[in-house]
Amino acid sequence: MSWLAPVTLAFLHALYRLVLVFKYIFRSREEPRPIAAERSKVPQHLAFILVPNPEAGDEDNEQYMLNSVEKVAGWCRMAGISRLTVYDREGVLAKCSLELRERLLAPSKSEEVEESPVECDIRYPLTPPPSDDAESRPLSPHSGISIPKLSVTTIRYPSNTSKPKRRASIGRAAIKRRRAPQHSQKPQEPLLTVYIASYQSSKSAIAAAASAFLQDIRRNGNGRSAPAKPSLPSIQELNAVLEGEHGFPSPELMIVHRRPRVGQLRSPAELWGFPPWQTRLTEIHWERYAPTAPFWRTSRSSEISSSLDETEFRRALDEYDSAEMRVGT
Amino acid sequence: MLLQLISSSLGWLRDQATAKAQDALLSALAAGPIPQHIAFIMDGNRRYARSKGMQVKQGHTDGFYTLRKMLEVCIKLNVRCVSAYVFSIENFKRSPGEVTALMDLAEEKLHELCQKGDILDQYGIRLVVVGHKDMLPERVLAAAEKAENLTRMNNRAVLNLCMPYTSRDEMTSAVQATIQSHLENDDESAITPQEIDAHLMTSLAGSPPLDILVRTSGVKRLSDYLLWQCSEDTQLQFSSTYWPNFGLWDFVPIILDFQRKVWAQNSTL
Repeated sequence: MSWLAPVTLAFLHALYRLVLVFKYIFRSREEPRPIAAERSKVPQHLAFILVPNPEAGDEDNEQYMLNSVEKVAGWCRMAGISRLTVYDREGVLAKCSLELRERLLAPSKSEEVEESPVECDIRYPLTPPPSDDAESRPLSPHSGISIPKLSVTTIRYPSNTSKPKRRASIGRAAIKRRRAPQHSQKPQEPLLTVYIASYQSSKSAIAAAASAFLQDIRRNGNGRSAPAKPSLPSIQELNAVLEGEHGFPSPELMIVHRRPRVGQLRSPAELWGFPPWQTRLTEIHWERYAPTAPFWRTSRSSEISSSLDETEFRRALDEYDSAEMRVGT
Repeated sequence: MLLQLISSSLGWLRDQATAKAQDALLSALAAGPIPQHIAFIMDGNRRYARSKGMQVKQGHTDGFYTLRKMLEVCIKLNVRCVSAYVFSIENFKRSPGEVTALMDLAEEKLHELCQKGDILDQYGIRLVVVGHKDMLPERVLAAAEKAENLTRMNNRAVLNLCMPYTSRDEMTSAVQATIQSHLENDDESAITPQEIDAHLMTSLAGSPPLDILVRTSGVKRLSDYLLWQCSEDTQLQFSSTYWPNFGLWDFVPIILDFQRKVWAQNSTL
């Protein structure tokens, strides 16, 4: 009778597959609200995990990722999301950070030549270069604070607006402005900061932060010998490093997007090595059912989308809006 | 009286048949790949209680019995390790009345679990309390230590009760322990993720890598639970059922999903 269990299991899986196909066919097709629709809660920081299709070529996956990030950055600006973290495990986006920066900057360059309808006339200085993927080194000989290698690239770029706003924090030499009357001032639109992360920004970054603290303890103890009572890092100190200037803050919402594959049915979410420190309170969204057709369609690339679908982004915002937030209480 | 006898006999037969059918189902599932480590975020006890017009305390008690039931299901499937998020460090922010009730429940159930013949003894499960234990009231800490000592030699499976616990606290403790170890051994090499992993509370309890994390009540967050452990190669299953209502029929698709993943991975090797 030892054959009965495997046969029963095979039958269960066949039945389950039928259920998944049924659920895919009759999945909810309710249209999510537009990106700029009124919502009671909009995340200020969105994380976007991209999982490539292992059956597609490297270059194809790379273009898919770049196209998707470019679109998501534009949608973030429309939705008023000021921070975007993009993550792929293998670091494809990190390797293409220069191309990505050009793609993200391209819309704002064309806006700089647009005529401003308001009385403020501002020229934005060049966007600061991405932060260094720095080796561990002290800020200064006397600060005693080592910079750990957190492997996060940061891109900051101007807002997508035809009404340029005052930015007092930018270098004054590049700014030419006239003061506008108080009643015609419009609220500032946020910058979009894009953090590019990969598997190297994950557990390795926590280890790098630990190594930096170890170096500082040794330095404070005057050399190799351990101080009598070492000041070990607290949660707050570790957080200050990992979410600080060389890391990235915790996102409020995360979209896990697997590039669709033919025949892909429902699968549970996974985090693909996303930095664990920052996922503490993050709302996780993923599409349970792949947008492409199931197994009976052929896998010609022309039938497969070249980037993420806007519907998925809008659905994630709607889900975040309806989520109940309780921190321990 | 005859009718009552027939009714109770039929009820008994029905229960026996259900139990046999469940065991047969679990045997069938156990014929395929089985996760080594499953974690539960047991969410929804209070909403469950409110939906039934019960007191919140009863919701937590029913939640405990669901944990026992799921633990038994996991053992019959040959799962080696079950972790449950019993109490978060953040939960101390709840009303003093609820915190006291939860601590009372924890103490009572810890004593109950390690009774002779109860589930830990019956199945050879070692109980480990994972978390910032010095934050627990003295009586709960004593009950926890007693339960850990009584089950220390059990080796069929491990039950991690995470209380009071947050993942950032666990990761920070692991970083501190790793730094301390490097200082004591005068080790100048860079700290690696593997070293931090080895100092996590779950690793020190002998837990294998986490295969599945289940959160009930429809919430899709990790809420500072096992963040390091589930960041890679862990399936996240979010069920809309409230925890006290969670049962075999919610759990079977979770196991089937895991088996599909393992078979898909094996077919690409």
